[in-house]
Amino acid sequence: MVLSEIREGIYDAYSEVTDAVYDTYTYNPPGPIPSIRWGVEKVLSKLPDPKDRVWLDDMSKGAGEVSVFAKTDAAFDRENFVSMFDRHNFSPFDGNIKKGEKKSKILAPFSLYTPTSIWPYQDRDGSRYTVHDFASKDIGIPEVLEMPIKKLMQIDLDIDQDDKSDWGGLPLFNWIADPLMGIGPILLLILIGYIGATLIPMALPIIGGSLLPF
Amino acid sequence: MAQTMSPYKIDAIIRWQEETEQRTQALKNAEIINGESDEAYIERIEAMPQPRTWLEFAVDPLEDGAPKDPSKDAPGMLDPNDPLNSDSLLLSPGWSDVITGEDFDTVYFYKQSQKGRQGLLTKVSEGIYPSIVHKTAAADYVPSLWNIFQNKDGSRYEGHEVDNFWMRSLFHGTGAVWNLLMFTGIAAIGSYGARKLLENTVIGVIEAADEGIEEIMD
Repeated sequence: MVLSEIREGIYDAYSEVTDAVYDTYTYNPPGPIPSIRWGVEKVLSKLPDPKDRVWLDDMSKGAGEVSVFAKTDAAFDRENFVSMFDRHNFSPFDGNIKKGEKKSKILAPFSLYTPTSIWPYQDRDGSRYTVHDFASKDIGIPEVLEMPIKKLMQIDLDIDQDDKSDWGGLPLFNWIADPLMGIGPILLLILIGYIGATLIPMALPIIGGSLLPF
Repeated sequence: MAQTMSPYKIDAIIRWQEETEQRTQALKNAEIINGESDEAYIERIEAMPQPRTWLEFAVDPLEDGAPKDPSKDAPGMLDPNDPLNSDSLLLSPGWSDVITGEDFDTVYFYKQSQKGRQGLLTKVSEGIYPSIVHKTAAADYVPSLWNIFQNKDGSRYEGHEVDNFWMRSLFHGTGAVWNLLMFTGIAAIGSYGARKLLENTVIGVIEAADEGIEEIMD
């Protein structure tokens, strides 16, 4: 109760501050004096636009269902992770970010090869959620800040061309996002390995007397 | 949870299964005609329509050829403008349609269509994991028998119904833990059973041989 009141208070204060800043920034006083926003945009328009960057997913790689035992069948959108390793020659990359003629690879071993049975990410439409979906997710930068960030940092954060900054546009995202997504499945495997290594030997003697013949 | 194939695709799968059955049966029933040599018989068998994989069927159902043109960037590198490819399922808009989640009616229809068609192993695996449902995250692998989440209308509460991304990931993460435990359990029970079976078989054979030798010696 007290916590929720504190949270609401902080949220209200934050909203008041941001609203006040936004109102001041966009306020258009009467007469010839323009708004601050107008002035900033005028200055920024003098700066050159950064080069467009486009996130490209290699459609020949990956599958909706990555199986451990079932055979690969493209018509079922299913691929066995072992045969996938073989097909891609153990390549950890999937797609690239195109900036003019320059291309930088996207590191995506976990999104590509992790079997579905231990993959914890799913999209709202029921499809496998990969680093490509994460990349196209909007950061949620306020509209008024989009242009200043883009111009001053000279970086195009909008990698899916929807006029909004995306997570995939952040520097080094193509190198670190997928390994971060892989932490979940790895932790699960470690946890199960730990349980298996500690609890089973402890439990065996208990079961052994009644069930096991050794 | 998952995605269910569109009725268009399921209809095509059933047509492919019928074709496979007919071709397999025809090959099985083929006999040597009087006066036919073995080579001629083998040649005739090889010339008969052979069962195809689901993908081969999907690419070219009528088997009239499937010209390719990689520059067109179409599914299966098929040339979408070639009239010979007008039968290809891959080029139909219905091919990539899916129903979000495991659609009860569609799965029920598919299971009914499979009655009397499959072997025991396929029947068991299709009963637990229908192949028309794409499993896309860990909790999709938890069999309905062990699922504890249900909607008010009696349908299974599926991962995609969780609004918050992190809660959805937690939901599937829990499913992943269950899958790993289930796999470990099956492996442990299986290896225990296999060991017992091997032990009994080996001991049985040795004892039988031993008794036989003893009788001969006596």
